Order: sequence, then structure tokens, then C-alpha cells
Amino acid sequence: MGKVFRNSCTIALLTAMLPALAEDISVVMSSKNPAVKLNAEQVSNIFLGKNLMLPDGKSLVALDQPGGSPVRETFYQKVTNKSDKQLKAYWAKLVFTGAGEPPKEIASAHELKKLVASNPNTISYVSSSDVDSSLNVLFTVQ
Amino acid sequence: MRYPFYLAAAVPAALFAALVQAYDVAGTDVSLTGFAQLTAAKVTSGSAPVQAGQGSWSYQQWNCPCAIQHWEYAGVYEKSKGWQADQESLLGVQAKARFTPQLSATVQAVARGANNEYRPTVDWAYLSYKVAPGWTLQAGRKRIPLYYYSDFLYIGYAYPWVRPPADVYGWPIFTYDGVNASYQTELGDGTWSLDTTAWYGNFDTNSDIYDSKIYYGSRTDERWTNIRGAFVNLSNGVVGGRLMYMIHRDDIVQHNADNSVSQWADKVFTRIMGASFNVDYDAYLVRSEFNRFEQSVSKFIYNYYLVGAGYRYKDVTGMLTFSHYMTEPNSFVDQEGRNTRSVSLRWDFYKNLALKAQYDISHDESKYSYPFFGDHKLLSVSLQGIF
Repeated sequence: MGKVFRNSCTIALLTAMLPALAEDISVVMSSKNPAVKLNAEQVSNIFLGKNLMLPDGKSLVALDQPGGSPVRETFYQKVTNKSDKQLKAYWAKLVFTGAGEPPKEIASAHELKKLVASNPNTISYVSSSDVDSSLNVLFTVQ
Repeated sequence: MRYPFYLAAAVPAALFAALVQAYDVAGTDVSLTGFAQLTAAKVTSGSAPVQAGQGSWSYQQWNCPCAIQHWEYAGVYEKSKGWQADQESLLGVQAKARFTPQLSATVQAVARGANNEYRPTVDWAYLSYKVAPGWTLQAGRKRIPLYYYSDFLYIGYAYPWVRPPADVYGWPIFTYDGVNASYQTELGDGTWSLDTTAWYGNFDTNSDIYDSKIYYGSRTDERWTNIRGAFVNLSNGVVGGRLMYMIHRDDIVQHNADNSVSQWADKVFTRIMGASFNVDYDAYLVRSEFNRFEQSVSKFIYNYYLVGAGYRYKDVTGMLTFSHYMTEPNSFVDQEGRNTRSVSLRWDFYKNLALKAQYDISHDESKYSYPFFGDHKLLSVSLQGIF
């Protein structure tokens, strides 16, 4: 009985956590831009600093969610297949050789969304539930 | 003695300081970052193949059995000294000022135990300008991006070993004063990314540490002029390849005890080539490099390579690595060579710190008539981080 109860609790807890973990993440730019779609590799290249252009040649500035936030860790794990520590090692090479800079970290998700909506050359990622008419979705991380 | 070297470094540093001062009021974004490593190692055993049976010998200033792990600043571990922490430990600080989104200035100073007891040197001081999407021009002092790890040799946090195999990484000159242009882009639908850099410059050392301490035994100056090189790096996130080609003119002048000088190289044409291939597939990684150095006059040729394979389990990465270098036979000097087998572990135990351990078994293949660095077994531990 006790075991069944504990299992039920575990299932209830997991179910409660699922929406937060499983929520889609949208790669977004300001809706002042023409609508563009990207694939996962293109998104990965932008956030790893390997390419800072849209396919049409428009220059981009990538912005990051706050360090340690679940949306950031999930985004990078799914898009680049790298953990936070692996990303630190990756960027260390580029930062200390003058070959690149990681996306600038913005202090809060709310501020990040406002920045992206008002600066057409910026690109970032937000929880899909945060997307509204101020943002274009270029890619959805599922 | 090294006054001109420091003067050369001080000029861009002063320029940088002046620029920071001038723009500070305008709200220039200045960031400070850095890297550090505390490395301790111990030669557990060693022997000199040339004089078999001899328990200890000396080569230049070192008591051997010994292990050279750091050619640029002559970091050598000696068995007679037990654990040593002063040969590779270092601290680096980088300041970067962004004047506009396109224009920035960067200075990096590094203090190393093996180099004048942590007296810092300005290894990098350059201006960077993004001329167009994907294109960057830089001018100033930078490390030469010769082989895969050359320009981040001191950023231990960025690679799996305690240090990249010393059989491949050793040069009298590793920096240039000059200009470079780089371009990065993705190909097609983004599956492949490409970056390429071309550089031009010169570098002068008075009393070069590598030449003076390791080979010539008295003050030796080396100068590389008309350095022209380029690399292309292509990767798809799983496999990556890099090709590098560089040419320069080499001058080597030794100062003898009787105040005479010996010109060992007089604008000798030199060509260096490198190819590297890396794989990162799920938890597996492969690192490899195949490099060659050629000098025209005497057909002085070095071949070297490293091949390593590793596996990552959570925060721990293990690697097995084999490295080798050998000079080709020529008419004026005996062959020098070495091979090393390494087992290394990296543990990312904290968000910006890694603890590493490595054991090397290294065999001296040199054919010198005198004992050189000899065979060694070396145990190393290192704490490496970024901030």
C-alpha cells in the first residue's frame, strides 16, 4: 500500500513537472523583420558563433537567457548537444584567441524578450508560451 | 637583455590603456576574463638510451632523468626534484574593450612559473574590427595559430589533456606582430560551417628561451620575418578538419662566450604544414594532427603527429593518446625524435574548473652521441579553470 502510494505520488509529481520540462522553446527575432525559417543546424551555428548571419546575409547579434535557467540549458542541450560545462570549454578557446564571443547574457527572460522585440538585428530563444505578436518564430525546439 | 621584447609589448598595452581612458566616459564596455592552471608533476623514472646503465646524467642545465613538457618557456621536470608545481602553472588575464559593436581592443598578459618566476608577458595585444558580416580584421600581437592547439596552448580548460602532447607543441617563436583577416560562414543549409584566417607578420626574440636554454646553451636570438600563413577549418558538429600552411624566413644568431657571434640561420626559407581531424560523436571523441616543418638550405625536416581517442561519461573524459616526432636524416646534425603514450582523465567537477590527471610513458628516439632528455615516465595533476 505504502509503495503504491509512493509511486502514485511520484507519478503525480512527474506529471506536474512535465509541462515545465517539455515545453517547446522558440527561436525568435523581432516581428519588425520579414518572416524567416531556420533549421536546427543553422540555429546551432548562430548560437555557437560559427555563423552570425541570416541566410540572406543580414548580420545578427545573438542573446542568451540568464545562466543556469532551464530554458537555456534545454535549448543548448537539444540544439548543440552540449552541456553547460562543454559550452564553457568551447567558448574558452574562442574568447582567449580572439575568434569569437558567446552570446551576451541578459539578466531576465522578460528583459530579453523586450530587447529582441525592439532590436531587429537580435536573435534569441524563449519559452514558446512567451511568444506574442512582437516576435517572429524562426525555429521551434521540441 | 630582453628590454626590446618588453618594449614591443608595452607599446600596444599603453595604446590600449590610452584608448580605454579616452573612451571610458563614453561608456565603453570593458570586460575582464582570465584563465589559470596549477599543475604539479613528477618524473617517476627515466633513463638515457645512449649511455645505458647510467642512472643519472645532465643535459644543459637540467639533472636527468627529466621530462620536457613545455618547450616555449623550457618547462622541464627533474626526477631529483620530486613533485614540482612551478614548471607549467600559470595565470592569464584578458581585458577587452568594445568601443563600438564593430571595434574592440584586447590585451592578454600571462604569468608563468617557468618564465622568470611568474613575471608576466603580454602575449596578445590587438585591435579587432568587424568589417562586414562574417569578416574580421585584426592588427597587433597574437599567437600564431599554427597547429590546432597552438593559439590556446595555455587555455587548459579548453582541451582534454593536462597539456597538448609536447612532442608536437614546441617552437622558439609562437607569436607574431602583424595583421590577420578571417572569415566565417556556414555552407548550404547549415550542416557545415567554415572558418578561415590568413595572417602576415614578423617576430623578433632576443635571448630566445627555447634556443638559448634547450639547444644552444648560450644567448641565442631568433627572428622570423615575412611570416605568411593561412588555415581553413571545416566542421559539421561531428567531424572537423583543419589545414594550415605557413612560410617565413628564419634567422638564428648565437652569442658565444668570447663575444663572437655564430649565425646559424640567415633568412632561411621555412615552410610549416599541418592537418588535423577531430570527431565528436555522442560520448566518443577523436583528436589527431599530422604536421611537418621544412627548411630549405639543409633539408632540415621534422615530422610529427598525435592521435588520441576518448570517451566522455557525464563529467569525466578519459583519453588515450599517442604522439611522435622525428627529424629526417640530414648531413649536419643527428636525428632527434621521441614518442609518447599517455592516459589522461579530465573531471569537470565544478562549473568553471576541471581537475586533470595524466600519466605519460615517453621514449627518446634521438640519435645524438650524447644523452639528450632521455626516456621518462611522468605523472601530472592539474587544476585548470577560467574566470
